[in-house]
Amino acid sequence: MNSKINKKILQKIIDLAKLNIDRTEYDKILEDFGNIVQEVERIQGLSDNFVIGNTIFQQVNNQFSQGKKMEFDRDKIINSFPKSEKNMGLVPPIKGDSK
Amino acid sequence: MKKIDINSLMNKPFDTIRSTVSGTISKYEKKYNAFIEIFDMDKVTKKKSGRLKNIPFSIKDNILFKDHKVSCGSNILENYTANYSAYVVEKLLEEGAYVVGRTNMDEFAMGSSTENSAYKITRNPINSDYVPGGSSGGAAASVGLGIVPFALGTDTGGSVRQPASFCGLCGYKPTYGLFSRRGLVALASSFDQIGIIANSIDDIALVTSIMNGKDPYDLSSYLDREINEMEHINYRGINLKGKIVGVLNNFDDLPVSQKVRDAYQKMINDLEKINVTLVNISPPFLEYSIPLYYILSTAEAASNLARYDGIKYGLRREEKNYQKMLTKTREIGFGKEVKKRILLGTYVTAAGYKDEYYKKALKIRALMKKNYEALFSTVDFILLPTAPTPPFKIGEKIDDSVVMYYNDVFTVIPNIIGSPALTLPIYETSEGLPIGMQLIASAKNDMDLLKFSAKLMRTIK
Repeated sequence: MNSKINKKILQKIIDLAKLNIDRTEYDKILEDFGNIVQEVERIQGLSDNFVIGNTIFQQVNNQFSQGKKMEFDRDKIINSFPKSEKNMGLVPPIKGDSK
Repeated sequence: MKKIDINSLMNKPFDTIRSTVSGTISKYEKKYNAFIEIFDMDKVTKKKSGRLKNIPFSIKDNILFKDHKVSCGSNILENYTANYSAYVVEKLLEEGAYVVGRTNMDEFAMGSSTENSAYKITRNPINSDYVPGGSSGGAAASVGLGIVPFALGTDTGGSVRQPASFCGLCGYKPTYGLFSRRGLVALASSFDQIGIIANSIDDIALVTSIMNGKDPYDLSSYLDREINEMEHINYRGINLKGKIVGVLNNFDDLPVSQKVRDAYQKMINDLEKINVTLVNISPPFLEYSIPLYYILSTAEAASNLARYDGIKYGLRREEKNYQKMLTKTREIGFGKEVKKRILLGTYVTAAGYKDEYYKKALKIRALMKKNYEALFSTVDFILLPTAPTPPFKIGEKIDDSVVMYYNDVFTVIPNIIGSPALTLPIYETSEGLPIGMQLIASAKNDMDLLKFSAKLMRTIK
């Protein structure tokens, strides 16, 4: 269970939410709520300051969705990606990695 | 079970269809519990014409139908009667369709198995030991059982696509705003969309063309002329070759079952065979989508559900003062899952925690939208499994909230970024349980998504 969540904090949140929790449900809610908070806390590991730094998407515009006709050439598309693996273009993660 | 589609019912007399619907309901409803209430078909106003003349459909219990009860699967709204109809329901009635009944759902659309309804548990039409998915599990079951050719559900984080996938059906969540939300009881307003469950993309396309429109009472709605004027999908003009589909590099760190991994690989192989270009992608923030979704959606839900205070709507428990009446009404009116989510929504927006959770999640959501816009300038569609596992047994996951939340890991992204997505019932396990595959397109690219998916279904199934 998440150490941030204890009975005192839970009671404060219950009051704020205008709820009442039955005594028989209290311990289970405390445990579940702790687990849920622990899960959502993972976003703390993300930086919200990073900027999309991937320029691949400007280089390889999708001409199909722009309504332009072009000769279809699979190899050309694959080769336009900086990396490939098993005959497939490989797009690196475009989110920032704060790890 | 004999599944039905709109085409097979076209031009049939009302009484013939009505007797088929009644027969199917009496055969299956008692066992499967698709509906909370079946409406009196003697009171149906018959239309002389319309693109959906005499076609029955079901509505999820959080969509308003004038003078009929709507409870959102909750005790707190048990006796609430709608005083107007949802925009989309009005549009369908104008075209001659009629509502068979309101379908079961997880309370206030919070759940992925329809086990959280205050009334009953719906069973999967393919195997009654299994859940039908959720929260639109009753809607999916009503189509899967062959009672109606299409059902209206709602999709806040996958609640149309996941049950459609679990019941071997097509499920469509449109771009945010393609369908008006007037008459949809709000859960998380910036995520909520009405969606369609049907047996074919053709039926989904027809119903979509009718339901789309600019509603002056929902400023987020918009008219898509191409969709609005579409009579049916014209297969001739669709070329699968030349489309670029982004596929997942790997499922590392994600709780995805081997059966789903195998089905995903099979779909990749099938797409390669028909010369669809595949590129490996890492969908931005995929591994953070669940925390992000649950922070934002519960914050909105806690706010939306604050209106159930024993005064304006539904249930009221008389107590000696206002404060006691309020808390007691909410204590007995809401179920466990709803309470948990209200608590989470209250926690992440409370003073001292708001910056850490809610505001940060809002910033990340904005970044996420930009990242996906960039990704969609390279790929036409993203292919993901609809759910990380095939259908699971009733009771199997109900005690672990976090495990249950991870059912939505692949479906929440389109809701976060406002994009359209469709689940396709293409594969199944060796036990005959369906595994759906999901295609996601960029926002307002619904037409391309419908056309590509329709052709794909015909080509590789």
